[in-house]
Amino acid sequence: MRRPPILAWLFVGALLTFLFAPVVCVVLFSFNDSAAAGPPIKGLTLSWYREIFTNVEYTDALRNSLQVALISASCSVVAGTAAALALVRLPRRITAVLAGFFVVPMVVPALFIGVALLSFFTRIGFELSLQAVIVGHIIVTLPLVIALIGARLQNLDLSMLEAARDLGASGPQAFARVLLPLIAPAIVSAALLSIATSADEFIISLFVNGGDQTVPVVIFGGLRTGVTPAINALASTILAATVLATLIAGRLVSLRDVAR
Amino acid sequence: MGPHSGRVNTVVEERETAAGSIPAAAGAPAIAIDDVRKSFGSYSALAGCSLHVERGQFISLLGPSGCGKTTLLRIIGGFETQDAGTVAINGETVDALPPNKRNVNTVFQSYALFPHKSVFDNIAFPLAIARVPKRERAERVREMLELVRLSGVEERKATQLSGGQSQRVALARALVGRPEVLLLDEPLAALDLKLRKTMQLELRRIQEQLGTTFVFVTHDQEEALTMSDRIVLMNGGRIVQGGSPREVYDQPANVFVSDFVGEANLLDGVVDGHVGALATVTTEAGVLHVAPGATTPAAGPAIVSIRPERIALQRPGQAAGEAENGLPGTVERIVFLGNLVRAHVRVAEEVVLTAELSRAEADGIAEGERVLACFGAAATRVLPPDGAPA
Repeated sequence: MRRPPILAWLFVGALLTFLFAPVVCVVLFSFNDSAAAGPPIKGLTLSWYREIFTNVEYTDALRNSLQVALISASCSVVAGTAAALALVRLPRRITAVLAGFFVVPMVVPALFIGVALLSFFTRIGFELSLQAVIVGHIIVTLPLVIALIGARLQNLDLSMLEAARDLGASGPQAFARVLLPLIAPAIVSAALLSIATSADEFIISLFVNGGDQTVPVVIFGGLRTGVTPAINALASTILAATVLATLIAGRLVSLRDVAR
Repeated sequence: MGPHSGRVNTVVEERETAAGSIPAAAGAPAIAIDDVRKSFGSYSALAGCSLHVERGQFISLLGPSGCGKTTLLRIIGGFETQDAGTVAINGETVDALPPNKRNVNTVFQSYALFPHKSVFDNIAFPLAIARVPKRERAERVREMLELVRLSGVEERKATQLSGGQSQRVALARALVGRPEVLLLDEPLAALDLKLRKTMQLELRRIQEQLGTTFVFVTHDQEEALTMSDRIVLMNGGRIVQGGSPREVYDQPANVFVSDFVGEANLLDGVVDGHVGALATVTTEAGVLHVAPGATTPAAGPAIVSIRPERIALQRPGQAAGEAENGLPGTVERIVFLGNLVRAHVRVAEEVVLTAELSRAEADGIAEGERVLACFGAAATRVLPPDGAPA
């Protein structure tokens, strides 16, 4: 019994359309030479991109997002690498439990973290600002870094570090010459995924930004006056940044390592 | 006697000489371990070990898994810190020194090669750390590769090597810094049998060529017998016996050694009299005449150990041989081993002796046949029963 595969093709095609049509539309209309953010396509232009890189409201948002992404990713990578290194030195049983705790923020809804941070910062009198957003993004990206680098370390034969010490290397030398080159791909990919996560993070940023708005918050604000082509361009910029970062990260660590 | 049996073997218990303050004296042993103890939580891994290793010796730490041999090796290397006792290398106490300050290198069981480095860079690693000039580095790496007979793979990644090649690279890397002592932690365990046999002889050749002291940890008694000048047997966190391969095989100090090194028939009995210079031991299989030795209890419970190759089988009616002992029994099973034949002979309801025979000796002996298991008084070794101090 052979059915023509045409039905299967149609089904897969429908699903792909469902998934990607919105994305394609946003990107497409960001190049549309028309003040309307929808069809018809009147011609292609880069003027909307020119606008988001010249209009102060948008450039501020882009600068804020970039700053938050770079600082939170750097903090998460340094702290997360140190934490992952500490975890592999503990007895296996304890590591398993602690690793579980470190992953919890990944499954806690961002809404909950946003509300908790908002009330916490208000209570202790910490001014809502970009710093507050950075703290929120570290909470979200740190578990990611620990998971990625921890997975890499699990797959390494750590007796290499003993061997390096045995062959004359001091502790820092063994780290710099043996361990660091081996976990460098995982570190870079963790940094890129942190940047992608931070650039895209909306809920926490909305709750605690205190007026220093990041790109997703500005887009949300802009929507109140209707979708404009500039919003499409801004969203497409974030899309390009996150997709690129994720693709590079994916090339650096095999996802099989992480899934383990 | 073998080429190494003439050497004087340092005695295991020799506490006062391990004076740690003497700086690298010419006469100091390569390694002096003095009453070293180590516990992990409530588990006592080393219950007081003392050991002197002479310079230039190939010594094996032999024992079952969990006997403490690897812990002792890791303490010498500086990867574990002992709870009590001292370790001196060449007369210099190293207890406070980290691994990189000890003139000792280790070949790890997993080889622990650096996977992101080439073979050359792996071997040159200790030289790079010590800031040896580049030209000398290349020269010494080449020398080492020649020594381990592995040239032409310098540019290969460490991950592109076979097990045997990795082994040789690990060895070259550990030796290139010219350590006083090389520690080897079951380095042959991951190799197949044929390669393992080759590497045993290779290790011995390299050790003799360099004159470096080798401390080799293994649970394989054949490996220890093949390579060592001296075998140190460990069990339950203690050093049980040290001696040349011949000594530990022919004169085991207790039942553990007798059973662990080679095979042994062990018969429970009671020492209960003398006939001339020989002692008599009454066992379930009959009264045995044994040559008393240092380990023989004066009277009371004892265990008689007889190596399978020391037992000959005679058919009843055959002319009696020289052997002082002849136990009548029935051949239960004959196992063909190619070069040898092993016969299991039931000499009492609960006692089966294993005899190892040459093909010629076994000729004509069949399963079910009545035989006499014969062995001389000198072929026996009488040991204190389990639990009694050696």
